[in-house]
Amino acid sequence: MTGETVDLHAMINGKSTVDGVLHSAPILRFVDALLIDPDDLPQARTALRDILSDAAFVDTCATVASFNAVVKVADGTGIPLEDFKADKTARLRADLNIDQLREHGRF
Amino acid sequence: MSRLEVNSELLPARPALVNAIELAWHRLASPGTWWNGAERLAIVKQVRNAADCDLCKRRKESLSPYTVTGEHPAADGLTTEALEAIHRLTTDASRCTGRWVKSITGDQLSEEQYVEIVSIVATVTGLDTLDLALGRARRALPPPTTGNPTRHRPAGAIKDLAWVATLSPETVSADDPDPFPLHGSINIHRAMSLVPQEVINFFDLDVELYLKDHEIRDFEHEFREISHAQIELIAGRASAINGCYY
Repeated sequence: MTGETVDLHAMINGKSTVDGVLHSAPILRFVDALLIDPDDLPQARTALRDILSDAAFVDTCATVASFNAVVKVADGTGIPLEDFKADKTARLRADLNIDQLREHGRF
Repeated sequence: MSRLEVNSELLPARPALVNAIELAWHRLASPGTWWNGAERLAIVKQVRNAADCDLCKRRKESLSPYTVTGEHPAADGLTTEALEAIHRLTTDASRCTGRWVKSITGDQLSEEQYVEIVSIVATVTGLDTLDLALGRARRALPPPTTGNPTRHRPAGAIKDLAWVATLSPETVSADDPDPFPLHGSINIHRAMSLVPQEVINFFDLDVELYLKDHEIRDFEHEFREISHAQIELIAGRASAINGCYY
């Protein structure tokens, strides 16, 4: 995976497909079902398993589990983004409104 | 390949992943650094109960969780402050603030105990999410392992990075568990380093769920049965749904 162009707005805006990422639509549907749309989970799981190998399905499940967990560590301790990451991703973060998430809890 | 049993079906899985899952459950039931095994399992139980907590639901629906008062259902052996930490981290972590952490830590819940709670919440969230994703029932809690927590506070931990004190590779001392050579030392690895064993515990699991630090940006090789692009698509969407800035 090098030099490919990916529309990252899908991650933030809930788009249903991402050009350049194989099986993006059923993967995104599965993530959404798992985390915010439980009524769709059985169907989304079946749709994903229809196109992925069993081992790939397990790795997909594991990846969602990781990112549903590690956010607790970041959010619960208030660590800042590293400077080198912030510098490299400043435009991207502004474009995707990611920085607003940092302010989200400050009431 | 090892196997994960899902409703009598055996799915192929990396041996390291299967081992990491078993080790994580064993560690959750074992004495930690600031909580004993029974207390750690009581925290796990509260993570699971939080989804049905009326106060958490009302706070989640509110513009600000800090305007909604009430009590979480009482639990044996856990203080009000510990319950607040467990429930908030489980149901509304993205709206945690430094002021909130400061308000619940003190005499009734030490900063070290709070950090260990963060690790337990994150770990069981990962394990239960995996089971839900696979389509199998939540694992029944194992019996606790007896023994006392070590109560080891790293002498070099200071509050210069996060809402809680942390270590860096430069401030780890010889008698501290040192997670940094194994897992890395960027901020996410330093986040829970006030309780360094918990950094090891959590990331021993997480690197098998996701990727090891050196694998993340090695785009010349694929380490999973899905591609880097697919992994990062999942990572980005899950983080966005969780409202995580990091």
